[in-house]
Amino acid sequence: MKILIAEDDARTRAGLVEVFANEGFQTVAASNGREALTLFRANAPDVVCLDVMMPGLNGYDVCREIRKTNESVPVLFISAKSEEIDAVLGLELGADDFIVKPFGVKEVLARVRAVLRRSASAASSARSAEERREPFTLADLRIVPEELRAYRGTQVIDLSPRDVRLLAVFHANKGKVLDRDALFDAGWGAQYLPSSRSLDQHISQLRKRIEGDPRKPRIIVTVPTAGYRYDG
Amino acid sequence: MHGGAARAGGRRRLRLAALLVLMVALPTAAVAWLGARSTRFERERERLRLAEAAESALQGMAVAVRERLQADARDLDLVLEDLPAAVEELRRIGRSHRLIRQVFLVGQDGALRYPGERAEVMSAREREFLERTRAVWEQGILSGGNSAEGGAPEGGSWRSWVWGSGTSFLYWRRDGEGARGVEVEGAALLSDVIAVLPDTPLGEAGGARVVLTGMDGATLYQWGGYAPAEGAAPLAGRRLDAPLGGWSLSYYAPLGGSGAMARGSSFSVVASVAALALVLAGAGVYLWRESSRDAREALRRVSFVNQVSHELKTPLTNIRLYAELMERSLAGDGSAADERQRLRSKLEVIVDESRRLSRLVHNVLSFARRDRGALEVTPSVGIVDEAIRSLVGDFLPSLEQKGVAVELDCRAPDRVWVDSDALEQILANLVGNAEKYASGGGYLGIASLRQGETTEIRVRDRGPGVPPGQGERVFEPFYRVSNRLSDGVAGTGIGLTIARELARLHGGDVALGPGADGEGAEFVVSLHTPPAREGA
Repeated sequence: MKILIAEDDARTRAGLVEVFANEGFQTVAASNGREALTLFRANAPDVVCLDVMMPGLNGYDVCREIRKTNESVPVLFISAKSEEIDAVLGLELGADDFIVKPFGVKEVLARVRAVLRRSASAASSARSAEERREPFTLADLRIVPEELRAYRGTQVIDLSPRDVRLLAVFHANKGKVLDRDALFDAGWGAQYLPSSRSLDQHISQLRKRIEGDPRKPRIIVTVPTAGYRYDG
Repeated sequence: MHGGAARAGGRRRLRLAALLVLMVALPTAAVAWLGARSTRFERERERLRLAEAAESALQGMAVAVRERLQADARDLDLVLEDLPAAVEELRRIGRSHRLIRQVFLVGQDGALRYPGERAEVMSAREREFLERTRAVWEQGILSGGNSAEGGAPEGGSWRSWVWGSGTSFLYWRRDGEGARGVEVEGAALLSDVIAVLPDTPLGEAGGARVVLTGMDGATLYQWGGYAPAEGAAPLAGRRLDAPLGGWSLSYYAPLGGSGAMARGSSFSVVASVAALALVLAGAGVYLWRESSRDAREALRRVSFVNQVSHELKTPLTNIRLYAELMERSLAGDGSAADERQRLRSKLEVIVDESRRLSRLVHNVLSFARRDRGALEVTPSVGIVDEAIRSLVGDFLPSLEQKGVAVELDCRAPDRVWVDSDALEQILANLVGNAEKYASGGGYLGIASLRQGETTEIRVRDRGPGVPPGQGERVFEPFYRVSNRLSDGVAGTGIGLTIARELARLHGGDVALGPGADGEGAEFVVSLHTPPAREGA
């Protein structure tokens, strides 16, 4: 999942990049409108996050330009302006959502997820095989990557892109033990070098969400000293 | 919401524009109309004046003519008194006297005796005379017409009639046998009349014309340089006195007086209308600009509020964002050394952004106080260099991040009376501006120097500088140098306004110095800082 972030304040930009990278998004960052358009055309992101007030081309202009050639990519505005007219203008220009500063991390993630989910039903462009867009099932859990969600009966569970990738690699290697390297590759790619403890922590947190009983995991099974495995 | 305000503002401006146009057009139209009327009156008065003058001139002419005619009549009387008896003598008079064409004698019964009664052969002249005067004899000369011609019982009588292309005149006196008279030479009479008419009517050369018209309306004589248009009416007219009552004089002159005068009056009307229109338009333009200025000021204030709101929300966003990121980091392992470093740098960001937020709030509050006239400085004992160092310390993380090298040259280490908070606020605004607009130059220099009771601090950068001509405008509230780079960049436009205000309250000023080497901007702060005695 690739996200393009356009924000002129350096610290806000760095903060947002960290937030999304932590969730497993690939991030591309621009500091002004022109750069945002250039990066958009070069990288074909899955979702775009635009600050409204930027020097040169502002967020509204960028959205307008993007919409000229791409009607489906989800676009969110983040803005210090909170007047109703600003939100209406943004939405009229083709944005999918409008977030007001100051925002919380949880709020931003939830909105991005929601917007991605809504756009999943629209026709999608070609994706790389790695992304595994097809829904798949792990035991009684049905994972829908495009929605970043898993379903167990009527239960709905939100997932991060990293979660989806990890579950996908488990699904693809049913019955096989996946060692730390393999899981790092799948979950973090070449971008990050987190400590091995963060892998364990992430698995532990993932289990908390998807396992019926996290203390007795059925989907992701620990293989001591070797790694983890999905049995089916 | 500001869409509505803009629309209302637009309608207001439209109404104001319409009002201004009316304000200029109506008085101008009124004055122009009045001017036209007054010009007409002027012309009418001029015409009347000229007509009066013309009439009096014609009157004078008529008097002169009458007197001349009376002189001629006296000449004729002399001849008539002494008429010879012989016909040949009478004929000779007719041939030689310039005024006399033919002598005649009339009997008591009114019948013509000479020429006519005596049966000797008539000369051709006498026969022509009879031809001409036949109607007179048939009517009876002694009866009728006399009083109408104005003949006096003692003087002679006149009779005139049109014959052919001219007028014929008879002049006679009664005598014992009837009457004796002459047919007057018309041409001689005319030339006598002309001789007494003035050469230049009213003394205006070329500006008028007088026409002498005969009984049949034919022009007998005219003079004067002015040529009236076909069918133009004369300014004045007068019939001559008897016996030339059938003749008349007409006086023609251009209406409205001479051309120069008419042009002069039109010109003055046009000039005064134009001047009025200009003055009104000037007043209108001035009012328009003032109103626009108010409108622009109002817009800038609205924009200021938006800017402030934006400015406040950016540091708030960062503070919240980084605090939550730290929370998440801490929820992880949080023990590795690099993790601690990452946490520390996030904390620095939070502290820095909090300071930025409070500087902004401080500025806005100062601005509000300044608006109320309630801004003040309260000096206490302090050290200028310390305030400088403290302030620079606050800005260092942000300056370093932007690659700006800071150079200090502090030479004000003494204890003086100074409002350190105000000084820090002034410097915060100057350094903040350098950080926002001039970090591309990679340099910030601050130098302080105390001389007597004044401390001078120079803040210099190597950024784009202030464009020429805007040196004073940058100190105006809400004013931001219009520059592509700064569109959308943070800034409320009140920083320099506050800095200058505080400096002035502190007995000094903030001014734009000449850019050193012509590149970048240099601001010079001067403050009144009397030295503090030891123990103060």
